[in-house]
Amino acid sequence: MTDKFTQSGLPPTVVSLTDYLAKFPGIGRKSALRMALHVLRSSKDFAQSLSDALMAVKDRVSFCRTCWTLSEENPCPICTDSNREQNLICVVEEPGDVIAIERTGCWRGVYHVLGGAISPLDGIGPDQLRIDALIERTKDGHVSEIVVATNPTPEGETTALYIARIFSNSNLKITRIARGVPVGSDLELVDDSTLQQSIEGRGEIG
Amino acid sequence: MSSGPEKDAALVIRTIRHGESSRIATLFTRNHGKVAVIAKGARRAKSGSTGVIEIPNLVEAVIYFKASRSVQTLGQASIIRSFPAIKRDLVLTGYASAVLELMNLSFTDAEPNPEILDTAIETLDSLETCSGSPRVNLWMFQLALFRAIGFNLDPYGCPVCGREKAMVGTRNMFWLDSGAICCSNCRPSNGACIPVSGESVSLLRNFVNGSDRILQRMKPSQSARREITDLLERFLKTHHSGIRKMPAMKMLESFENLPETPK
Repeated sequence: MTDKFTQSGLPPTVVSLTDYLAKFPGIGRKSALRMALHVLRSSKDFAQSLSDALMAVKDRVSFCRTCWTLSEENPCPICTDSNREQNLICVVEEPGDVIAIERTGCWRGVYHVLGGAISPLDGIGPDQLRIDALIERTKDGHVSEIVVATNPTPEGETTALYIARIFSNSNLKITRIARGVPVGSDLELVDDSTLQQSIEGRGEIG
Repeated sequence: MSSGPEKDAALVIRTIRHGESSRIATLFTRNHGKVAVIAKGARRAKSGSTGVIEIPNLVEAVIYFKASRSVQTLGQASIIRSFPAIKRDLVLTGYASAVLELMNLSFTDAEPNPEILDTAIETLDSLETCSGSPRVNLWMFQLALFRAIGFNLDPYGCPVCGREKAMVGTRNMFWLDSGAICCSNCRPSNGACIPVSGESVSLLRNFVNGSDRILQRMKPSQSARREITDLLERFLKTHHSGIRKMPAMKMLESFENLPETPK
């Protein structure tokens, strides 16, 4: 592809920038070229700010050593927030899941980011996730409940079942986020598996 | 491979994330064998195929085939069987994953084998309904798989001296190349062998006889379980050059050793 673009008469620096931008998830070569041309058309200040922002992210952001989410501080503001219920831990797969749950504004506990999910077929086992760190966090006895909010995929479910198993001899309450019909959808279009789970996990009205 | 849409029953044996919201799945179809398909938008909450293209579901899939493509396009898909009890149990999930892993590793693309598909579905059904020991069900699936790919176990007479009865209760050798049991004295100079107990020989004979009822009643000792599990895995690796690692099979053991979840 690079050769084709070089042959198309673009300066090598633009081709190089396009190559890097095309590595972003969801960005194809055409979009990458559009972005590169936008940088060219913009002021030098814009390019400098973009470059500074990229470097700042790499320099300042790291994993919180308590919950393993992305943060500029260690421990992160969520872990040090005294208004949050530190005895409730919500376990998620990736830092992006923390952002999604925080957006809802309904969770007042803290988090634990596993860094993935157990996938036997891909050879991703519990040892490759931050499950030992989760066990360590519960050792001082202040945690009362672990809410497993891994994705409702076979990998996420396997991870949830594994967590339930390893804490089965403790006094901790292990719960799983509810699964069911997406808001705004038609029942007749929902797949059998989701519908079955939503009926099994039904709740009382009022 | 013909062009155009075709409806086929298929077992979802593997999925990987693709792009923002799609999934690439490996399906083991009845008519076309192993087929890689892209399920566009399958990870979106409101997509029609959310929850359908998931392991180990048995689905009816409409696949748009194009000979020039290595990954075909999935049209509609609906669940035939979703095996909910397997999905709710960690150990059964481990067993189902081992079955799917064997299906994925043992066959190349577009190599149809309806018999092994049916056997895999039967095995998943047995796991789902908890009929019989899951370990024995997995062993029986492995033997059916060996037969399907053209390798047979022969746990009867020693291929060198022809003795049969002496084997049970004594220490014997399993000859990985031939799939036969030979006496320790007759151990061949060429080819790898692994020691095997009389109890395991007896179990293997029941497997080959297809004595399912006897097998399901048998309670193999821990050492025989380990021995047969290891023997079947090494036999497959010996005869199938493409198989090096079997992570799901390995992980199954660690799942089985975890404490039980209180009911």
